Amino acid sequence: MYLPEFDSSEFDYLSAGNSQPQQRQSQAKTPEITNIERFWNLTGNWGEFGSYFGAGLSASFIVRAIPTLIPAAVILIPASALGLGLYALSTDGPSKVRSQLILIAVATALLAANWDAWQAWIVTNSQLLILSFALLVITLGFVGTQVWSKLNVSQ
Amino acid sequence: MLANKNQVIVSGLLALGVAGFAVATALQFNDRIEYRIGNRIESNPAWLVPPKAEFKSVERGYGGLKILLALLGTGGMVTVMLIARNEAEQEPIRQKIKGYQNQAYEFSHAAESAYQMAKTQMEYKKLLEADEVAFEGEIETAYCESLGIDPSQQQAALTGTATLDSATNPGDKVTDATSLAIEPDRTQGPKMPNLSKYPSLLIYGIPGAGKSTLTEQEVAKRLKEGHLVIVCDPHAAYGAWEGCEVIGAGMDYEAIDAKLAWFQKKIKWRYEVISRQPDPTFQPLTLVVEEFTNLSKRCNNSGSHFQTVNSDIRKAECYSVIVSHTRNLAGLGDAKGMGALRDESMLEVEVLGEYNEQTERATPRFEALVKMPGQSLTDRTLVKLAKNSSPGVENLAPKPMLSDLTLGTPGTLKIPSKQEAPNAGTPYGIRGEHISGMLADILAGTLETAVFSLDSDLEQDEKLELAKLIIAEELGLEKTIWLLWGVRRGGRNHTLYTEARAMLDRLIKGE
Repeated sequence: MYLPEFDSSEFDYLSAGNSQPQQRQSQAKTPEITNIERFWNLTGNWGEFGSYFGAGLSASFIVRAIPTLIPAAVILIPASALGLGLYALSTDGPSKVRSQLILIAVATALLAANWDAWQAWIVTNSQLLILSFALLVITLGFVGTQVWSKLNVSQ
Repeated sequence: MLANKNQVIVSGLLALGVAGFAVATALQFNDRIEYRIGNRIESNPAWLVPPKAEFKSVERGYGGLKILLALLGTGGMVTVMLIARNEAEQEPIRQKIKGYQNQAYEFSHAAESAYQMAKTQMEYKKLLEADEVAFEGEIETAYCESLGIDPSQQQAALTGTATLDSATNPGDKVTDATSLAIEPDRTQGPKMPNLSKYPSLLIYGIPGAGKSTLTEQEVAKRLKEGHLVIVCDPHAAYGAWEGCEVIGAGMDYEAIDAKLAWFQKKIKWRYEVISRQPDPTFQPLTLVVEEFTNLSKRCNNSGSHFQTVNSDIRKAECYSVIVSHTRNLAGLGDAKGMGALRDESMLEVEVLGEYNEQTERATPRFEALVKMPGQSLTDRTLVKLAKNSSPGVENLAPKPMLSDLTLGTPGTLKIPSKQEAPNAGTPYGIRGEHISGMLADILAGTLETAVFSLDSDLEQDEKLELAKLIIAEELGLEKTIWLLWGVRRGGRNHTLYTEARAMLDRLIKGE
C-alpha cells in the first residue's frame, strides 16, 4: 500500500513526441499532506515505537521479577536481536525500517529497565572498566597518531 | 482547533504512556540493603552486598509497580498506534469527501446561478412577448387604417359561432331591451365573481356581445353598494347612466381626458390623506370608461390612466371599469409595454357574442370568459350570464323609457300604456288582423325589416299605427327605435339613431 501507483498517462508526453514532461503532470502527482495527516503519522510512529519499547520494558521487568527466566532471556534476547539485525540488513523498504525500529526500541528498553543493575555493575567493576578504558584510549591514541603522521609524510 | 475528537484521545494516551514509562523506569526494581562496611555506609541489591558488610536497613523496591506501569504504558502506546494508523488511513478519504462537498457546493451555487439566469431570461421573454403583442396591435391598427376602417371599431376577435359576417356593422350595440325580450335563465356552472371587489376590471368583446349591458348591471350594483360612479361615455344617450355622473357625452373627448387626469389626482389626494391620517375612510369611487378603445388616440391621459388603475388604486378605495372592444394594448389606451401589468392586475371579462341569422348581426351568447388577475389566458373560466339580470342583482340599468318621456306630459300625444292595452291583438286605431300579426312578428323578432324601413310594404297609416302599438309596449327607447327604424345607438349608424330618436320624439308628440 505504500508503493506509488503507476499511471501510464504520466508518460503520454513521450508518445506525443515531446521529451519534456509537462509541468502540470509533475504538479498533479505531488501529494498535498495536511497538518492533521502529519499529526496522525507522527503519533502513529511514536505509538509504534512506544509499543516496542513498552514490550521490551515489560519483558525485562518480568524477567527480573522471575529470576528463573534469566538464563532463557540471556540466550533468547541476544539471539532475537541477532536475527532481527540480520533481517534488517537483508531486507528493504518498510520492513527494514520497522525491524530497525524494533531493535532500537528494545535495546533502549533493556537499558532503561535495568539501569540500576547496569549502574551496580559499573560501580562494582569500576576499576577494571577504568583500566580497560585507559588501555583503549592509549592504544587508539598511539595507533591514530602513527597513522596520521604517516599520512602527512606521504603528502 | 481540533478537527477530530480522537486527537485528544491519542494525545492523552501518548502522554500517559510516556509518563508511565518514565515512572516505571525511574523507580528501583529490587530491594536494596543498606549496610556499613568499614566507615562507609552503602546501599546495594542483595547480591552485591559484601559478605563482611554490617546490615543496617532494607529499602523496598517497586518491581510490581514497575511491571504494571510498563504494561499499562505499552497498552496505551499500542492503542495510540492503532488509532493513529486508522485515522491516517481515513484522513485522505475525508479530505476527498470534503473536496467533493466543496465541489457540490460550487455546483449548487452554479446551479442556483443558472436558475436565476433562466428565471431572468423567462422574465425578459415575457416582456418580449408583451412587446410583440403590442407590436401586433400596431400592425393590426395600421392594417385597418390601410383598409379605411376605424381601428377602434374593429372587431377584436371572432368567438363562438360568430363569423366575419356578424361583424359587418361593428358599431351596433346590444341594449338591455334585447335581454329583456328573452326569458330569464337560471344559469348553472361557474358563477361570475363579485366584480366590485376587484379594483381593476376590463370588460371587452365584439360589438353586440353585451358589454354595455353587463357594465350597466355592474354600475347599478355598485350604486347600490354605495359607490360614487362616474361614467366616461362618449356615446352616452340622453338620460343614460342614471345615478351616475356622465362625462364626455357627445364625443367630448377633452372632457373625458380631463376626467382621467382628475381621477389620477383624486387617487393621489387619497393616498396623501392615507399618509397623514391614521385610518381614513373614503367613499368607494368607481370610474367607468366606456369605449376605451376610442381613447387611445384622443386622450393623452389614457395610457397613464391604464397604468394607474392597474397599480395604485386599491388602497385608495378607487375602482376602475374599462370597457373596450379588445384586450390588446394598442386598444387599451395605447398602453404599450404594460401587457404584464394588465395580465397580473386586471380582472378581464370577455363577453361572448354570436351571429344571429335573423338580424344578421352579433347578438349576446350570455356567456363570458373570465380571467382572474394573474391567471393565464388559456385558463379562463366560462361563466354563464343571466339573460335578464344577475340573481340577487336588480336590473337597475337606467334606461330612459318612453313612458318617462311622454306619459303625463301636457301637450304630448297620449300613448296608451301596456296596462291600458294589455292585448297586442286588440290594438286601437286600425285594428286589423294584418297589423296584429305584424306586431306579434315584430315582438317575436321574426320580422326582419323595420317598420319605417324602405323595404317595408306597409302603408303609411299602417306604419304609424304599428309604431304606436310598439311604443305602447314600452320596450325601451333603444329597442323601440330598433324595431321602428332598424338602427342602434353608437357606431357608424349613430347619426341615423339620433335622427330616429328625433323622429320618435316627434311621433310621440303627435307630429
